[in-house]
Amino acid sequence: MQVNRRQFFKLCAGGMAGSTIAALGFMPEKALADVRNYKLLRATETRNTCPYCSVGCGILMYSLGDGAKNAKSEIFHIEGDPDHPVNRGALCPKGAGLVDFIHSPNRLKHPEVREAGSNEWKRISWEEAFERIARHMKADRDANFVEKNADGVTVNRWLTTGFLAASASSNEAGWLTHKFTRSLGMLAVDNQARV
Amino acid sequence: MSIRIVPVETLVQQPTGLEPLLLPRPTELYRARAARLHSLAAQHPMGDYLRLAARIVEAQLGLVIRQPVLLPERGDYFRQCAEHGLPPLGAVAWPREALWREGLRALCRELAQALTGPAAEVAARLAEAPDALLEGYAQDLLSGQYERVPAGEAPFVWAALAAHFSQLASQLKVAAIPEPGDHRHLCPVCGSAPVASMQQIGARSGLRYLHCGLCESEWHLVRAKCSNCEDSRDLGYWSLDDREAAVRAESCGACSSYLKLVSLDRDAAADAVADDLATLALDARMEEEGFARSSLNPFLFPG
Repeated sequence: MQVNRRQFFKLCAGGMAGSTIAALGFMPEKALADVRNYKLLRATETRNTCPYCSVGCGILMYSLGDGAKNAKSEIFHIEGDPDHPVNRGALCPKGAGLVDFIHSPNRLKHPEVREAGSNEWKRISWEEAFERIARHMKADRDANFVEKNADGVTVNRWLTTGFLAASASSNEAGWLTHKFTRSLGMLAVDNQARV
Repeated sequence: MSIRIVPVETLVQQPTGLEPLLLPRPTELYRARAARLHSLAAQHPMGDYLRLAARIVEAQLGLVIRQPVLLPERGDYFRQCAEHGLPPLGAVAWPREALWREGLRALCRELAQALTGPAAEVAARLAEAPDALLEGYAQDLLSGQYERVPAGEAPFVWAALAAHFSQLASQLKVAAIPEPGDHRHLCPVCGSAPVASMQQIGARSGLRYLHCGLCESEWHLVRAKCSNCEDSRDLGYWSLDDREAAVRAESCGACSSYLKLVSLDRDAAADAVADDLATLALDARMEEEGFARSSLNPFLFPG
């Protein structure tokens, strides 16, 4: 949608003959002569929420590249969003170090497992990770699920496993978290909704 | 208009949070702008032109000091503007005091002496021009019909109007109230287009204010948002050679326009008009990328 609320101008295309600069006896060509010598860089600024704690500070992420195919985009700077009502541009030391967290060589990018009795981490596929977690959960739930309490009232509780969810979740992610855990009978759910 | 300006005595409750509007301080502003233009001119391919602009700004400063303009008592006018959400100094509708023409003539007499060549001739011509012609120029410029005013005359007329309106704006006794809606593309004080965005330092660190090209007021608009169409999906921040440059162009893919963003945290001495004028090479490259400017610089009118 083209929304043209202000007037638009293209000043340089015609070499600015007739412009103020030319009309006052100056040569605009001089100003535009070295235009070719510069490299034009494009960055973007993207709003997001800090991933760490439940305060949910707003951040602005600066990245290079325009998202085009073949162009590698890279985040090079992160700062607090000055317009965000929660943090008004401020960030704590952890939030202020976010850009290093993104580029950290130690950042975990895929599932790993340390088998019982081993002291080494081994990379596994996402499929294998999901399957192993599901198997552990089912074994524990089958062994410890409480269908009725001492008075014979149906309670359907699973008290031996808890769920630690994200702190900076959206409402939708929170809804999904609850739908998943409560349907299994799980009661111990923590969203770190406090700091 | 989503910044509503009301007479300060009608306020029921003191507004909290960030200030949506910063009224100008013309003396400090023109002094700093002239100094900035001189310092930018030192090593600039267009240095001569920047010095000419500096000389005109010095003449604006002279007007503010020697021929101060007082805001007239127009209580009912301002109350009606506030009631209807209109800018109190809406530049097209404002009944201009004849005083602005005296300012223009004084400015042009001074510059006709101080300048040389075609610029001095234009200034001399304007100093002798009849009232009707000057009023016609003013009305055309303020209503955006730039092609009807000769490009050489325009910056002188504009300089006198700006010195006039910035002094009026500086004396307003008003409060600015943010309202729902996102119509912040024009100045809430005078209805003119912004010349550039200013990213602030100090108490307002990081906040973006649009700087009015006429009355020199600044009003708040959130970062990472197109100042023309309020889209935020396809914004680009362009600079020449240095991604940390103090002046970048903020482009919008939705409306294909751009406005420069001047970051005071990168250069505290930067000025909206001066730094915009000194980065014409960036304009040329932005045009090549298919974007159009959504504002004019008061020292560069199209032919």
